[in-house]
Amino acid sequence: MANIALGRYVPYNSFIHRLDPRLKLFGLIVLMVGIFIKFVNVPMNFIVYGLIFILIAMMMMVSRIKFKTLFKQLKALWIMITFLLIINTIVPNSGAIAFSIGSWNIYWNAIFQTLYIVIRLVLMIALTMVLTSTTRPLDLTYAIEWYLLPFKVIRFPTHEIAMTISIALRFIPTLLDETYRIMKAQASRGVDFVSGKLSEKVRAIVSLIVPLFISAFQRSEELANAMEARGYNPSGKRTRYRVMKWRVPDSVALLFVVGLLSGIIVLAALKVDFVAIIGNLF
Amino acid sequence: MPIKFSDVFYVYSPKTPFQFEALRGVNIDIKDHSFTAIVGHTGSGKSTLIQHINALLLPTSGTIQVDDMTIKAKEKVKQIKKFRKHAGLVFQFPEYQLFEESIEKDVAFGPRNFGDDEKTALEKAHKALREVGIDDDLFKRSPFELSGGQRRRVAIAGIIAMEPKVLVLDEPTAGLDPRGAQEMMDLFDKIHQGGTTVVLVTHDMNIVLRYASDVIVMKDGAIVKVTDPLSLFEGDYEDYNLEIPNLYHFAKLLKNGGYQFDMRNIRTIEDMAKIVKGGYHRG
Amino acid sequence: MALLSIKNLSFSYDGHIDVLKNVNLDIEAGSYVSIIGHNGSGKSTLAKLIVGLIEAKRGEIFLFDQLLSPKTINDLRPRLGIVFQNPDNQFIGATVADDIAFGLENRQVPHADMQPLIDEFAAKVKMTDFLDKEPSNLSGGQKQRVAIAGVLAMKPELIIMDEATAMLDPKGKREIRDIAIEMKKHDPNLTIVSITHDIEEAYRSDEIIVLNEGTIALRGKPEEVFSKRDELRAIDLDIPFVMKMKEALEKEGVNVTSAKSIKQLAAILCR
Repeated sequence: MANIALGRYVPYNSFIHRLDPRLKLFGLIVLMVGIFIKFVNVPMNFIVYGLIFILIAMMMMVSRIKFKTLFKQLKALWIMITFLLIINTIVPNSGAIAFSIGSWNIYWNAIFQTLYIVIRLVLMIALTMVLTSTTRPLDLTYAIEWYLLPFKVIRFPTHEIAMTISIALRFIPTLLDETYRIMKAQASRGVDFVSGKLSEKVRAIVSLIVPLFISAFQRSEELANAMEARGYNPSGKRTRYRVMKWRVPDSVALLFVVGLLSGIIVLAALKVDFVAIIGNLF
Repeated sequence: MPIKFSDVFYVYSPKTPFQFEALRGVNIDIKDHSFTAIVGHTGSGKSTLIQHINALLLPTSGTIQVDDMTIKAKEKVKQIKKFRKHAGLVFQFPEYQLFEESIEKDVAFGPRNFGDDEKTALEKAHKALREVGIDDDLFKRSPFELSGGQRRRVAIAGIIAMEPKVLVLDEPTAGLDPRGAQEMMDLFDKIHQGGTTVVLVTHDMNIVLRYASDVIVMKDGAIVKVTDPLSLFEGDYEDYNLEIPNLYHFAKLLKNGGYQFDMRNIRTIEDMAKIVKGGYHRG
Repeated sequence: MALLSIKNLSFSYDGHIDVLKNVNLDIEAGSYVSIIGHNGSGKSTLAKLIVGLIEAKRGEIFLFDQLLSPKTINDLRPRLGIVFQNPDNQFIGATVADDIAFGLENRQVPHADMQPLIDEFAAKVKMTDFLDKEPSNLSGGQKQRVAIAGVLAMKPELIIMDEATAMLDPKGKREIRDIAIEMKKHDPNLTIVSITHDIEEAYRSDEIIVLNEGTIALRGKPEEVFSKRDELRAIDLDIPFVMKMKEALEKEGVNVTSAKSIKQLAAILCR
């Protein structure tokens, strides 16, 4: 039983689960933009990132997404994060020097830049997780299809692509099961997928990939026959069983998201500095 | 040496929402040189069980003994390859595992993985292919040029070429037409006569009746009956969710209708006809 | 004219060997016909030709009094349904409901009409409790039931079952066999053509056609066809248990002609 838990849809009836997938997709993109906006100084950057994180944390709580899952996702990326850290801090920069190791100078600038990168990465991953955990893959596909509809004007095959994606999604568990079955069959013939010389490993992979591909081709042919026999015409008109209904909560969420992005842009454009403001109060 | 399972438990996906106990306290002995059928409803644990015989799956608890090798739960298994060679496992629809450019190379794949050089492996491959009834002039062909039935025989040859002491088969006749199924079973019968222990998972009770020396019945992950085919069908098998072989269904009806005979004497339709003749003219 | 009429049909995949050789066949509306024969006898090819998945270049197929051709196939298809052998490779929707809806969407059934139809046909195949289940959580028999529901929802006049039970376990086979019989009972005008290895299923149909190496070897009611034991044996085909038993009994001098099922046979012998 495949356990692709990371980022996988977790059924639950939360407010966010019930939101229209088109809205959620839009929200994801908008918030991603917001994450990349630069503010007037270092503390402001951290403050805004912190606020965004609190927002995301609230969304996670509402949708019953466990923080543990987020950590698991991040754990998988710690190598890349460390790599980024090192690269960024080694490259010569400008401005104040934080400290030195021998003749290597580590600049404050570099440290902050790296931290920004890491924080943005964490926020993006968390945000994407909120989307994928609260939205069925198929609903997401419908949302993408809806956004691509305008391209139909230039003969872009939106429907065909959406159908392809939804069929691919439907077959992921089936293909995974088949992969395990083939692996077991070859393991029964003495194949070692774990250890062994490189040449052996290559043969092992070949003994897995070839049958998978052959079977995939046969599967597609049979599927195409079945679809055709059931009257499928890719370029023809079709009605829809699953329709997305835009409701009031979706409009509210839309206003909120747009308002949030506007707020962030204003804060950046007007070079607002919370620290200075609070400092002036005292 | 027999294959022995002692208190074997197997749990899929432990500690997750998908946790499932597939084997619950399994204790069995599979005798050397027997033709043992493993039967039971879908989901009773048959496939899980046989995957322990060649150490594809390791028990969550309990011990398994295969030949002179032992598998203890939670302990690392030394020389897993020995298990794979000792017990050759053929999965359902094995034709899907073929991948080499030629049939002979595909069949030689197993022996090569166990250390044979190319020449020896090919010899074994040729021998195995002939045994399953594939003509020599097909040896260099691609597996994908053959029919489904032929591909299945090639896949089985791939395991036979490994010269296992035990041949474990998971529903080898699934999807075959009656003639194909008959030829396949005759092949396994022949292999069994040659000294190999055969373990066969099947739903086809007619096969069990005709070929098996021993039957192990599974239900919901546990062993509910270990016996020989005749005793099984003579007794109460309704609880086991098994399909009654036509012959035995008929025999039971006649018995209930007054005919007196020993079920053990009935292995074929001809046996049954003779019994009927003997009692037909009774009052 | 018969519902399905095949005239002088020959077909070859590679241009050399004919998989079907001059087949002539009429199937009347409302019948339940089984086509039996080995793998390689041409059964599946015949099925694909009838539903227009492959084009018949030699010979003609008439469906509903119209010649089947690339031009007419789109008009004729809505009146046919086919259930294939592999339960996974015909399951398109993400869930049971979505899969049944697939055919409805293709035929542009209005959205408002879809749910009632889905509910109705899911109930017919006893899959009501599984409407939101994904195929990876269904058994082979269940998936085939969904395929049948999808086909029935289109209200076809002819249903072809192309070895629909070949990949199922005994329970699954029984489920599908029973549904086929129920379909006929519920709609006597429905024509079912079942391509199968399952002799017991064939025995229950109205008529059997035996295909061997691309030609029709035998044809008739089950009793007639299965009584031609020598001819069937010559092409390595099995006969139902009841008939084998009757044959063995005959050898012993016990003649029983009328029984059609194991129960009936036993009853006669116990009198």
